[in-house]
Amino acid sequence: MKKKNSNSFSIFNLFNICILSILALLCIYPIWYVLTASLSNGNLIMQHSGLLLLPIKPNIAAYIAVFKNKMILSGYLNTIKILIISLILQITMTSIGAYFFSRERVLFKKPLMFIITLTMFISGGMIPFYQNLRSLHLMNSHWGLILPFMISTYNMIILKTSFESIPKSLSEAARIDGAGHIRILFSIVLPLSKPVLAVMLLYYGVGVWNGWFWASTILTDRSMYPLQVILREILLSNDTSVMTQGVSSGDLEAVGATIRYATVIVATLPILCAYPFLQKYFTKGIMIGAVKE
Amino acid sequence: MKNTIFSKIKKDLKLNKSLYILVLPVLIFYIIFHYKPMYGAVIAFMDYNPRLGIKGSEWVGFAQFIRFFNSPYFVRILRNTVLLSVYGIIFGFPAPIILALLLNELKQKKFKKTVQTATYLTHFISLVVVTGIIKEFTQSTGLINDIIEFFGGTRTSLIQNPALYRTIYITSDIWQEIGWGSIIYLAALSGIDEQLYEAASIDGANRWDKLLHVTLPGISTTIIIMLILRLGQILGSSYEKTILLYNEATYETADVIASYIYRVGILERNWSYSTAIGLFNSGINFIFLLVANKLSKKISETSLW
Amino acid sequence: MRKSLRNLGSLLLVCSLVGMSLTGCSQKAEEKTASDTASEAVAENKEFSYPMKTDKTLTYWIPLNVNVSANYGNLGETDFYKNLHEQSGIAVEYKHPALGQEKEQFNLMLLDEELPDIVEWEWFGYEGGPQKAIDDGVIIPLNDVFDKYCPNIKAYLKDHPDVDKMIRTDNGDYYCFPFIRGGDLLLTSMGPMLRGDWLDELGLEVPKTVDEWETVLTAFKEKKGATGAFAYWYSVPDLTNNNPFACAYGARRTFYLKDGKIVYGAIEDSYKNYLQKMSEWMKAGLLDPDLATLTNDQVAAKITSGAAGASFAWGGSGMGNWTKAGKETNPDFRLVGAPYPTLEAGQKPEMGQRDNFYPGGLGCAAITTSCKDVEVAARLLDYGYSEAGHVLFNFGKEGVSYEMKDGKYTYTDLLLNNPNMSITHSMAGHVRANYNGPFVQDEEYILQYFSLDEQKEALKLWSDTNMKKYTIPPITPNAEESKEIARIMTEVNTYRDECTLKFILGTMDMSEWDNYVSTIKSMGIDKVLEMENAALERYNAR
Repeated sequence: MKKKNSNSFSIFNLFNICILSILALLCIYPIWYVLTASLSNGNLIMQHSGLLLLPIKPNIAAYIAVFKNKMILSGYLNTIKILIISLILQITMTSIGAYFFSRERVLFKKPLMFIITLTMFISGGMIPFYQNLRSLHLMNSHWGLILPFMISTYNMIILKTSFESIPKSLSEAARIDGAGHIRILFSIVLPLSKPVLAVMLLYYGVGVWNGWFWASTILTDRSMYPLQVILREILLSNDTSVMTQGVSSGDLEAVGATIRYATVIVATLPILCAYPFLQKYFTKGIMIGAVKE
Repeated sequence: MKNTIFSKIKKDLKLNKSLYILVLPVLIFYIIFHYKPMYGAVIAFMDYNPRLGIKGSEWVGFAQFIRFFNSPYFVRILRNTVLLSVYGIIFGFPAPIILALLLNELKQKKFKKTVQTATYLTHFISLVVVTGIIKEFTQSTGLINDIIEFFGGTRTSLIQNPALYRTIYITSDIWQEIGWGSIIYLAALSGIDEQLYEAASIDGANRWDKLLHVTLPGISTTIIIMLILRLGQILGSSYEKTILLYNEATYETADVIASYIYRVGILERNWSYSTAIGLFNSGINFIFLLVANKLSKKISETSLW
Repeated sequence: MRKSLRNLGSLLLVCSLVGMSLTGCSQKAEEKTASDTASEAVAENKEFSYPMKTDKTLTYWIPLNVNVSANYGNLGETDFYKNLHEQSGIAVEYKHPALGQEKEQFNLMLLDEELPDIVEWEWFGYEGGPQKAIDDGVIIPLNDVFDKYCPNIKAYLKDHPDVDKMIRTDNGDYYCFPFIRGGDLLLTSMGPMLRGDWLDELGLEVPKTVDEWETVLTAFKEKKGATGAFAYWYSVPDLTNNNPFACAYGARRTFYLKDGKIVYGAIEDSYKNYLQKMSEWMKAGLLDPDLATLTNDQVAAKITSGAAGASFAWGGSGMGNWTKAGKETNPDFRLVGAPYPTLEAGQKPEMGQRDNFYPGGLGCAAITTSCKDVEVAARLLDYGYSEAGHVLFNFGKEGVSYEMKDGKYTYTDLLLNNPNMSITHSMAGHVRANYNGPFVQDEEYILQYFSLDEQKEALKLWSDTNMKKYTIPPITPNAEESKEIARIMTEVNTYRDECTLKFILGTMDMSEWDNYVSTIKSMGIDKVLEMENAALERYNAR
């Protein structure tokens, strides 16, 4: 009986490892493709078709060209600035909201929750949003990219659900000891929610990092552009089907393919590197340890 | 009666005063950035001219909605939008859950980390790049046709075939989002008490039993919440991916409400018309959300509010 | 606060409306005494000379051309602007929309009470027409401004009455400082091209008729292994609207002039014949099977690697760049231009690509209602039409970007043989001749921009058509008409694009043609044609 069990275990494990390996390869390939393409010779890569496994005539000319572009550096600095301020505000505000909605015996909780959830589905649309930013004097300012996006209702619901799963006894005990809500939130609830906070950091962080639409809309000073707007401009120079069909084009020349790929790598690498640091929080143990006490 | 409600409120305010003060900034945020601009949705019932403003523009009642319902493309884009969503829920929704469960079964820590990192990579690639790669692979000279030819098929341009468009769209969606989507379930899995597994083992449960009786119930709340939210997006579709991926030959299966709004509304400056379509969208989405939430409350006692 | 802002907005609107009707009246008065005002203007202008003495900085909204953005973040960083500033004496702060977001951002900008002083845009394509832009209180009519401050453009328009007619609305209002193509050679920029070295190798002539093209493409496919002998950037409207084989059949995808009337090409029988031929070619493997999804890169790759042997593209970014790239791997690589094809041998091509002298696209600068120093703005914009300005916009600065050789303005090696970047990119830093702007483009530019003999040869071949007959002048339907036309045409064009491709790919049979025509008719094409023709009559009556 026991033997049979372990046997099926190993067959399952083998199968599992195979499936996941294939999936991992499928997912790594495009990044690998972009990386090898960015390191290849420009003309040859254009003529290449099919699987690309190693760079063709490797060189780093494209990267030199990318770093010569002043916009890339200023884009980096802008993005980092926006990212740091955003994350601080987002995590704080979302935690407060989620904390409120995870409490029990609060009379206005349900109507407020309804009102907030409603905003996920109904909005005034683009113009009122834009005019609102203008009336708040947030145009052509990085704050216009930070303040309106302090809370994502979606993320708040996820965080709320996680807060609710924390045993009530813990915060009740603290209350009896005379702790206020702020203390309960910061010294009990948040430390117990590290895994989900790591998820929040990633969700918000990636959102801010990849956001381009409002940045390109409210910033009129090009030196304030975050990285993604610059990346997008470079990428789209090859594809007019999106490039405002009505605007007559004339004799256009796209940015070289290798430079486009190199820009993708430069603009994506930092956020890729952030993940492994957060990943360790996804492993079991942190939460359970606290609950046991 | 009145008195009791009043006293109830009074009691609640007294009891939870600090809590209400704490949440005040959040409420102010929603008022300023969500409710204040919401009045703008009224332009759906107008022939809005930005230079005249809301006060000066002409009211036209439901004319913008009627124009949408009478559009020669109404049925087609509605059908395409719904079908993409439904296929997305059938095939796309379970994928990250399955991945999370498979990862959870892994004993090899290093391998697990590697797979996780590999699968989330795709999420970070800009859509412009992703669709570029998809188009390249599905063209008649692309990688997928290399494989088809190897097995004796003939080369065709897959991305110009309307019958294959949804398959390509959904598959690439799963491929791009499976790792990222699994993060939330992995976090939920990490919250399951190890003691429950130990107890189940003592009771002689095998891997399958544990999955059914410990793991799935442990993450069921997360699954249900995610499903409700997904159902609330039944008419939501990505305009960006669509306009990057479709071409004139695949309009009949590819054109969705979002891409129609983009073409007719944003590029042609039909602000009122696009807002009306947006409102219609929101309405349907909201109904789906309410129904899903209610059903879930009844069946599983999990709900958004 | 909010209320006061809105009141301010309506106040401004009223002001601008009043101002408009006033200028409308005064303009009529002026027409009667045109000679008087002209002499006044001359008197006033005698005192004025560049550089202007002003400490004003103008705000100037302009979509940054792709060729410029490749190396500069702002037009103000280019040598072109530095010279313009020095010569005109007027400082400019440029504002650019994000690339690929121009239309969205232009639309959103119109929501602001405070507009930039100058906006460079395709004002001809403003929804509701240029007259609507004036009526909406976005830009000011320029008749007065031209008279008072703009002797240079006045002089040009006096010499070119046909252009003068093109850049007014039906009311007779000027609305912008236009981009004008200054010669016949500049009106045509694209055409069919194919591998000259392959033709020589196979002993074939440059094809002139559709039948000859079929022979050549078949030979390319069978003998040279081109998987899709003819490939081009299908998703670019400019290219697909002027498809050379459609031209051969006398077919157009859009509106054109037929016997003095505007017709919609895509429902004419000639269009059917063209589609029939294309679907035959698609089936025979003469066209690239992935036609609809090709990007610029891919077309380039196919041409340079020999997967395709013929294309339809621009002379510079197509023929020029591809030849350069192709030669790197294959020294024999050579592209030659072919004339726009015909059906019968010996005919002169009827149709081809040809702009109006006023193309009506980007590069037209208008002064907005928010501009407080109309004179400064006008002086800046008029500079492009002056003699010195003409040189600056087209050739840049002497000793840097051009030199005088045999009495001709000649670009230096800094532009033509820059080791660090392509001609297109290096030119964009010094001149505006290779895209657009408020000036008259000089023919000398294109002759030097086309450094290869094949390019110059091709340009002559491509220009040699009767297209002038078929080109619709820049007519301006009124606001009501424009709105209705836009509403109907969005639906029609979507349907046309979809069916066109399906006919070509063979997924829709040619027997469906009548169905297709009647569907487009049911969408209201006749109503559109009626309005377009009415606008045409008004134009002709100007």
